[in-house]
Amino acid sequence: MTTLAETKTEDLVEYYFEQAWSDGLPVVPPTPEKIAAVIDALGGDPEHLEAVVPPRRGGLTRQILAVNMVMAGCKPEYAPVVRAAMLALCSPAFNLNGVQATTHMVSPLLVVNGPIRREIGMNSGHNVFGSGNRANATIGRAIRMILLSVGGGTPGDLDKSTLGSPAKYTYCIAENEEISPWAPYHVEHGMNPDDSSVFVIASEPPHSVTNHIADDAEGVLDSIISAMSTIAHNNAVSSGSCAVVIGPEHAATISKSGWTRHDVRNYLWMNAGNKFSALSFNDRYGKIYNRNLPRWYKREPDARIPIVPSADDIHLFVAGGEAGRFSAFIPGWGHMTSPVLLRIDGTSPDAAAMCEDGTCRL
Amino acid sequence: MHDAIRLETSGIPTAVLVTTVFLHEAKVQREALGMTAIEPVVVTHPLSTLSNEQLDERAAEALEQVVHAWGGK
Repeated sequence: MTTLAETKTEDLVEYYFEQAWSDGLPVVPPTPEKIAAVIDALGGDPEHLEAVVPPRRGGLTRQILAVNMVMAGCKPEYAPVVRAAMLALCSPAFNLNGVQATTHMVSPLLVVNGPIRREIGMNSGHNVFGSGNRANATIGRAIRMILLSVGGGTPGDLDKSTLGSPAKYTYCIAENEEISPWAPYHVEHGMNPDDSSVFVIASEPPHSVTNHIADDAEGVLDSIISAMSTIAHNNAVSSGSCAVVIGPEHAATISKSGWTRHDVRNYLWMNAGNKFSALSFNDRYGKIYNRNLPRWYKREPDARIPIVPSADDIHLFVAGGEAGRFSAFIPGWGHMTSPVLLRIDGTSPDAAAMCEDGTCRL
Repeated sequence: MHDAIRLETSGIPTAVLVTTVFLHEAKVQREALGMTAIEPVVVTHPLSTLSNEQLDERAAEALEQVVHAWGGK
């Protein structure tokens, strides 16, 4: 026999579907007790406004943040990550307004670094972009639900994405710092290893890079360069920034060649790109200048057009399981957005401290 | 719409050009940013891939609206 409580729960799930308060999947009914636990984890004060979420510019109070986290299936201890991610997404440099409304398939990718990854049980290993880990799945889902219900990014309404992507359900990983031969991403950007951080970049889903042959850095990286060097993604035509995720076996091979993160990013930047003749379709549709590319690029048929303006615009991570010679290229949305890195408390890394000890060349 | 509202706030009459499919988004933005009187200039979607002749047609669609947005009749 079904109890009254069970019936109510079932009805609530249907009720949330009817109210369009879901991402298309069933949500966890946000009971007052569960909401209170998340608000406590956020520091109390449910009316405290954390952010204003474009394009609808809805107010994200701690209470609303908590409701969405509970509905997405988050544990209270995920709260600092979701909060910091939302602060990053709502900072002006990210241009969430455009990311939400564009016809492109872009979705924010969240990468978490530092001790909090382990404290909340995030997956940075096998199937890192896939299903099966509560923290990765529900942190990314909570962000998407906030973008939908608070930001107003409803498909077909304010979200005009032609195709969308599976990354619009959840898109959240942690760097595999333990297996990486290099310093973690946030240390490369001037933080301490004991700091935790969130990094957001508006991007496509990952594109697999296979290479089961190369036993040196150049060979592995040339395959990643091949994935980068097409005219089909937005970086090629609109510049901006991108991410590269090196799988652990590939990272070990590259590291064995003695290459640093700095070497890897510069080699990728130096060798990825297209000829301007490819981007301009050999003038098939008339003379093209393309104002979306930096003005210092030569608009001549044989000129090399880099995928992004500088090696610093390639954001490099090591993630994935210990077995498998795979990496991934993740094209960005273009120059219309800038990725954002924040400490877990929501503060920016101290720009003056960045690189002063040479960590940018790790 | 963001740029237009900044320019209008600093006293520069501004015409915001949107294609038909983005009119709703433009209206939501002006509400959210608190300048409900700003009227976008609306032209038929799309703008990409048009010939010069088709672009002339879009310009003709926009002309009267632009003049109005800039304070003319």
